[in-house]
Amino acid sequence: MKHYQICRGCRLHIHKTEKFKEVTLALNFMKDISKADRAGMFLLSFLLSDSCRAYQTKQEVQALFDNLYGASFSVANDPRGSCDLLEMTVTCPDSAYLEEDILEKQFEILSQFALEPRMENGLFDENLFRECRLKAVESVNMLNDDPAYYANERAAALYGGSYAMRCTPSADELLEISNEKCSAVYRDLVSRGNTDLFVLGNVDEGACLSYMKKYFPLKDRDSFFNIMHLHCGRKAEVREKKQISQSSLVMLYDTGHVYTDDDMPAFMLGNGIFGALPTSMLFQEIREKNSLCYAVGSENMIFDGILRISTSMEAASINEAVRLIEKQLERMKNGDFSEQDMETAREMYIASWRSSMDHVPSLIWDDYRSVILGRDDPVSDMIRRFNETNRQQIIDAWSTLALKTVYILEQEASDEEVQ
Amino acid sequence: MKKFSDPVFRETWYEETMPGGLKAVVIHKPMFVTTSCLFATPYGSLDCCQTDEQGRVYSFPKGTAHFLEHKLFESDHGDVMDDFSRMGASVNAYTSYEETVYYFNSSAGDISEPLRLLLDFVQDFSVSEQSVEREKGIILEERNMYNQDPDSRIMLEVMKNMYAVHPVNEDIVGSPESIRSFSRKILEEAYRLNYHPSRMMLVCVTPCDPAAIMDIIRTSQQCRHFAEAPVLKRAVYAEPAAVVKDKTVLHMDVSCGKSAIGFKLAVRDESAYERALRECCIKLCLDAWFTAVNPDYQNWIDEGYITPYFSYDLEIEEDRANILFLDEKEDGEAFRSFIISQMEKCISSGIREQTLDQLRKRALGSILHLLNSPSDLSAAWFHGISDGISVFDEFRMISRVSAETCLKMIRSIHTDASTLVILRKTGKNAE
Repeated sequence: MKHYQICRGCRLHIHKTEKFKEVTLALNFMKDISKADRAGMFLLSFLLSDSCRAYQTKQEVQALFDNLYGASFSVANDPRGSCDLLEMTVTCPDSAYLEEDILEKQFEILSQFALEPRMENGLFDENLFRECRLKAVESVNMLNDDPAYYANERAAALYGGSYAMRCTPSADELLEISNEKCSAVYRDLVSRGNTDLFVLGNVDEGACLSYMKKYFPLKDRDSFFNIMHLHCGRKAEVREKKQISQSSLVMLYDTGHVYTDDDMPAFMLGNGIFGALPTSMLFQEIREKNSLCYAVGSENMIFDGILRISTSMEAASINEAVRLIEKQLERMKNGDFSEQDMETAREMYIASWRSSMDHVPSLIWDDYRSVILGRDDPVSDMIRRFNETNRQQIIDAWSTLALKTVYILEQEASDEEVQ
Repeated sequence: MKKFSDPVFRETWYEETMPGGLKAVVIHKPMFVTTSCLFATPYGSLDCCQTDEQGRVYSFPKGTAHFLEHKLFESDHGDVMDDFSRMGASVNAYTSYEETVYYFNSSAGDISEPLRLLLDFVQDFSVSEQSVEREKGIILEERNMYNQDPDSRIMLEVMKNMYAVHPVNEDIVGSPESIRSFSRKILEEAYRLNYHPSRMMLVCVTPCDPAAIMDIIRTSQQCRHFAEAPVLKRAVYAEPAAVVKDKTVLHMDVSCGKSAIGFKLAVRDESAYERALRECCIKLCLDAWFTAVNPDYQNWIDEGYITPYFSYDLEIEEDRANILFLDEKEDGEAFRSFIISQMEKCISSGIREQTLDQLRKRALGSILHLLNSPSDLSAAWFHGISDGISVFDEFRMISRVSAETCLKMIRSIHTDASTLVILRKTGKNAE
């Protein structure tokens, strides 16, 4: 990957590869996360993906992307660690498969959607704002109608800190935000946020650099954001009820480890043994041996120092599941796992990191992670560290785990059909 | 092993029919590190009642294909998932209406071990009675999980309302009663009938040497003996043209109400190619009318006829055909009136040549995108061969189809058999 500093806080990164038949441009704006701006950041993902000054109607936007050979365009608000992130991605076919070169057009339209939104007098077009706000509210409602998603969000809110701030804004928060506030969040993000444009594909590097300068006349910015924040969560246990057919359980632990710590590979492999893989203790004990659930797993939030365990099952089985989870955790702390368990986790993690090299979004994220951590962080380095990890390092890494938040969404009664 | 290539998309693949009849395809992707390999049988949840050439009927409980998929992971020494994991390969499976698919992904340089294991475990029935009992609880929880998903719930209800006897009116996983009824014997019989290699296909997208991959598959098949299995077809259902129910209202504790409309279309006696062409033409007309390609689409949102989450789906199969419309709206009757009126306009308008050009360009991007993903490509390749239309054939079909043919095809459908399902909010969300 080659890096070019466009101005202070703005960089172009070119990852040249002939592997893919498409070229992907991913423009990332990053800022520190704040409760006050969360709803605005979330809403921007709807406003900036709908249309722009040059392409004002849905029909024009659809025709634009169709005529660029089914180009895909997305804007995602994806906060990570203690930072809020807006990712704008345009993917087009590699021009080698076409009768025309569309790379410059790809840069131009990304710039038009990112830097020339449908605004007048400093505000988003009022009709667009109303429609997108409604769409965002519906989106939140739909997400929360998934009991497992809702339980994860409620647990995060109870846990606190920037993890709680990363929660999807509520429908009320979205309905309260004004056009003025949202427009201000946009201006602040574009003028102050760390800006990185990634190009992935078989491209001419010189052409990319000249298109970047031509279409992204960005100004210096001095911000520095630290994505990593070691959390210490709030102690809480909450049960709520809903008319659902399955109860959801979420348990959040402080781990004491973030991504750049030396013991992170050991903690990751431990998570493979404990709950992240189908061979793990949680899957084997709770699903396979006791038939309590269909899905159970643990997720290591590498920028936060949090481990999340989640599962869904009959309400009557929840207490037994909690007991089994705690028992498996004790096994981890006592080193009660086999050499084979450890080697399996190692094989699976190495395979997973290698596979990321064939997956465009993962590749871009791997590149971005190196950039935001300010260090060369190649996949090969993490694979080497996995290979060097031993049993005692895993036991030590897992000895610091502390349970903080338990959230249970219990089934009240099953839903009914009404003629 | 026969070599094929497509100069336009710059892809090369190899095909061979193995001893025993297994069809193997190896798509060579030398620049990738990941191998994605699937082993599939065209045996899905709809095949719960089958007939052989003598007219003998084989009936199984609803959800048999799915239950069998879960249990095939069991081997004489435990769970094959563990064995794959030890090799650094991730394995999984799924059952749909039409097929059961087992697959693994591996980024190891040598995939001979997981490939042999995939062949071994799918072609070996080692299921114990105790494990069948244990699996029932897991599958009932899986069913509960889908049951509380509003989209899954409303779509299943639309199928129930549309189809009187066709098994598409049942959950893929089966009912609580059918799940509790499974025994080893039932699964073994379903396995014997539907996992014969002559019915199955193996598709491997890989950077590894194709000849070496084919050698592994060939050697594996040469070592095996497969008892003759009858040639089975899905039972033919005397499905009436009319829908079962005009309307159903469901209640769930959700914050978004929904409405879904299903149009039951006539089934035709046609070849796979004719069916694919009909589906392609009707899909193009729907894409031209019911998406932002249509200049009225924004007005429909502004005036509240649809929400930005409006969607539709078309399905034309040998024994069923339908169009489904879904939106986040509780005023289902108004939604139905609107959709019926727009369907009439869509049917009379067809598609303009300029719009068709636009959608052809979109199709080129879609196929290039597909070719970037080994796992999606292996699945699409299997579907293509099962349906008799490859991924490249499908693209060429869209490239060559005329607006006139699209108009003819869309005009062949009738919208008089429709059903509506409304999902209303209950609990505190309804207040």
